[in-house]
Amino acid sequence: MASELSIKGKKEFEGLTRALEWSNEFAIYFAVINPPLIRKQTAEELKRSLERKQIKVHSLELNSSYFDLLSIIPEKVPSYCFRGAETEIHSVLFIFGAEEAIAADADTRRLFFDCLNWQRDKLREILECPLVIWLPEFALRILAFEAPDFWAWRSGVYYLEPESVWILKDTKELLNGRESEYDVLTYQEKVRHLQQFKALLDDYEQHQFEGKLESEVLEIRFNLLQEAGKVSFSLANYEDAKQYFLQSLKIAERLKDKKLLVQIFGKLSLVSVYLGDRTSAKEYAEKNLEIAQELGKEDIVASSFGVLGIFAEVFAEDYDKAEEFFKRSLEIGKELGDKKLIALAFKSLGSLGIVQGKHTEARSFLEQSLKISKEIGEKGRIVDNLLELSKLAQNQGNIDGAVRRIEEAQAISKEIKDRVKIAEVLEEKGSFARSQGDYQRARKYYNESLKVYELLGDKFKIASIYADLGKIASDSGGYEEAKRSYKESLKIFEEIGAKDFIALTQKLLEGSEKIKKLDQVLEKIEA
Amino acid sequence: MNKKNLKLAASIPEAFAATPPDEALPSSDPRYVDLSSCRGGENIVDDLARQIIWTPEGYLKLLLTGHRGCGKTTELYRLKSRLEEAGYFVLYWNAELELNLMDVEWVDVILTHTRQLAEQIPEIDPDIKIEERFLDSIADWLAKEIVQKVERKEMEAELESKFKIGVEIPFFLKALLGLKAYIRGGTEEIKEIRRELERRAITLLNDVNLFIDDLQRQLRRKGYKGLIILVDGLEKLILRPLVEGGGERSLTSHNLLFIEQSEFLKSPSCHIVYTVPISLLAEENIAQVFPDDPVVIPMVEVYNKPLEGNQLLKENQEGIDLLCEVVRRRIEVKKVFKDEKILKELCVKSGGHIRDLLRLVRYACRYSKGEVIDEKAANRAISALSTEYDYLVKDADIEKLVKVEEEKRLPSDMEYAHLPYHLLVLEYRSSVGDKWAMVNPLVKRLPKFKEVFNGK
Repeated sequence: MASELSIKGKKEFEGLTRALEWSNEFAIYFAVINPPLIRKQTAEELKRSLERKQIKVHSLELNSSYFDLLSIIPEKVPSYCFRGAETEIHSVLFIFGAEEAIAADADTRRLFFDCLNWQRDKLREILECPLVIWLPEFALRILAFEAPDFWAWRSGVYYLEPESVWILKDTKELLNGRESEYDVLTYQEKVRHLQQFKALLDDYEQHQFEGKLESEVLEIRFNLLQEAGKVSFSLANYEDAKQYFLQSLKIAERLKDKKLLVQIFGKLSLVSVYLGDRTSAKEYAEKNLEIAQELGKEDIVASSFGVLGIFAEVFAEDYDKAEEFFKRSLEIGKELGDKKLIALAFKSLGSLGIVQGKHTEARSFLEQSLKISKEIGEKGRIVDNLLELSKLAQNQGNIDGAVRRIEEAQAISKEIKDRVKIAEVLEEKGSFARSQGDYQRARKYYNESLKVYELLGDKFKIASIYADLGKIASDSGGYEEAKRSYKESLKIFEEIGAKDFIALTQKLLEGSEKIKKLDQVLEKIEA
Repeated sequence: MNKKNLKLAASIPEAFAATPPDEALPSSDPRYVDLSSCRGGENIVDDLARQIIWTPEGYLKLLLTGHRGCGKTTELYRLKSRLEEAGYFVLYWNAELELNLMDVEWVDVILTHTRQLAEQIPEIDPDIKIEERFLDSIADWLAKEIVQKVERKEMEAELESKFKIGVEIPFFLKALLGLKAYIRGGTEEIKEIRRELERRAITLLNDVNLFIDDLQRQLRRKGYKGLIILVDGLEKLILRPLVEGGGERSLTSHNLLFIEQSEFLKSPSCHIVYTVPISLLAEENIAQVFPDDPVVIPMVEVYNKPLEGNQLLKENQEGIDLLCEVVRRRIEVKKVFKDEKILKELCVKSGGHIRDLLRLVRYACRYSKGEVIDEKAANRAISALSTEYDYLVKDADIEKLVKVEEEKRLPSDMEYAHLPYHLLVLEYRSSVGDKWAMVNPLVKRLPKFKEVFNGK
């Protein structure tokens, strides 16, 4: 019986089985179990055990966009679970996935809790059978606080604690079987990963892993924290991401493991950029470089130079310094014969050339990057280069050339089915149409890219696109629409704490107001 | 034990089934125990009923409140019976079932009164005629807004098909049922319809009152003393800050409905009792807009009010006995508990909160190994429920809880409002009606509270 559970967990399992045998009325039970794989296995075992006792079990799976029980239950639950059913069957309804709504953004979470709070009576009115809500402890802790009316009706909380060895096993399986590239996942997939990491992290805080080396357990925790940070970053939950990375940094420092440290400083640098904390961003990038040099990790040294180059270009507008960093990155790439690094360095140099108006140089760098990317089949990088080449063509007044490059980029992004690249190309098409004064088309492309970013749950990009839509509206005299779009953009930037972009959007909003007033004055003068 | 089977539970499984923490008792339920002697000495039902009965002229609008799980619904059911016995026609409706508690405004409440009257009265007394003509103009307009049609016949057909409404019911009821679907669905259109209705507020309220006045006349002719509406569940209205119409002071969904829109809630020409969120009592303006004191249901005293805050608490035997009686009306205590002392201990640890007492008994059943609840099972139950409170106690609350425990009173400060909201602090009225408070006994067991409290 429930072989993955500890002795305490097994007793709770027995208790829950008994409670469900005794309950033939509506009631709310919570089954708390952190490791996601064991949660499913244990639920299956309970189901089998109940079915042996002639109790039917039906399961419902919720997620971050599918959680309104009152509309889901009538459609998905068999009639024998309802009051007044023709045949009285002792049944139980298992509900999974509540943690996904809870781990989602603040609005979704609020909506989910509000639904639970005020649907309580209605659920009891329609359902005859008890509910068992399966969830990890972090989710229960939040639910108890945020959905007090629903929580007030609970008939029992059962802590199905697993054996330590199974927690480790579950974690390893989760970390092994996972793609570490979160950007391309949908919002729901990201949230699912996030809640799994959060759930397991709870176990690592509470459990003693006897017989295991402390360093081994800490390293697993480090990986969990890092993954939780990465997926939070990909959801543009930058403050959360930073906290996860800082916690993993502490572990790396405790283990005095420079290989782990070097993994984390780069990420902290990046998240600081998005949070508008330029000083920390630069400091973390410099530390990253320092440790990579100590370790002789040349590839990381090269990418650190690349990052510092971008900081010099964007933060300080020190183009000479930026060029120096990019060239050092290029040199290392060449020394190592690492074509990926070389292509990246050329692309950075090309982009810098565009900013500086050095068109010939820029073209040469971008063409070289494109050529290498094609050789090694780095299709994502090909798209990046084509988009930069399109911008360059625009700057040079070569409209046909610009269109050709974008179309080429679009075809590749569709071929590789990379949603991030697809959205980036659409965004660039919007920007191009806007520069041509074709606002209708620009709006269309921006809206299409917005849909993809919404699917990906990338709040930073969503906010950026709203700002772009505001610009189009402002350009075409739709000041009210511009104001609405800027406000939406500002709201999201404020939510994710992107300080630089908050300031920028505020300026756009103020600018739009000023232009509106100027236009009104001009109209009066003309009249 | 459930409604189908009211015999006393004589075994652990039966006792488990007999103590659901989510059940409100119907008015004549034999399990009901009058706890008023240990809830400030005032019988809440008598108090409310008296206020209404002794007001032959004009109409009262009374507020009832209390912490979650204290028995508001049970008392409302009893109030309904009591007023019916006194000869009134009483309409009860539950906001949780009728409204979208995420978003309620006065228009929704007033129209729900109307719809409930039109739906419930013919069922209870078919002789009373629902006069459509009073609500015709508003129904016409409403239906037009909902189905976007000009012709009444077309509208009627569409209301029937769109909202699957029976053919036989009056047109205005169809329109109101259509509106209910919009309200419950929380659609964007409802906001627009509300704004339009607000522009017609005077006409709407006038029509509704003509409708109610006509019902009052008919009811009186049939021998009723008058009409009373009881609205349950409004205390669960979701608290959220509102941006629109913010102005100088912060506007929330609570003060919008109960303060800003109170005149509308008070406008129907009949007595009404509304349940309201307890946090509303901290609102300065509540006494101005609802002049009759809100009726609060406190916890059952399991300790006597200490003369000084830091005096040792002395158990209130009467309160404990009453709580034991609550259990005794469900369970054959001698057969299920090894010793009656165990039940008393559960009563004390519940802090006089009925729902937690039932939960403690249920948990004790869950942990019992043999055929009866012994001390070990009871202690595990207490410990398990105490752990669940741990989720609700934030570190920042500890100092506040210590202050409450030391002073045995809840400061009337918004910073403390969430403590009773989450039942971390329980409020009482002594036999002479004095207010006092203490930290929930289950919270007092938590190490994080004990460390700070004992360290003082």
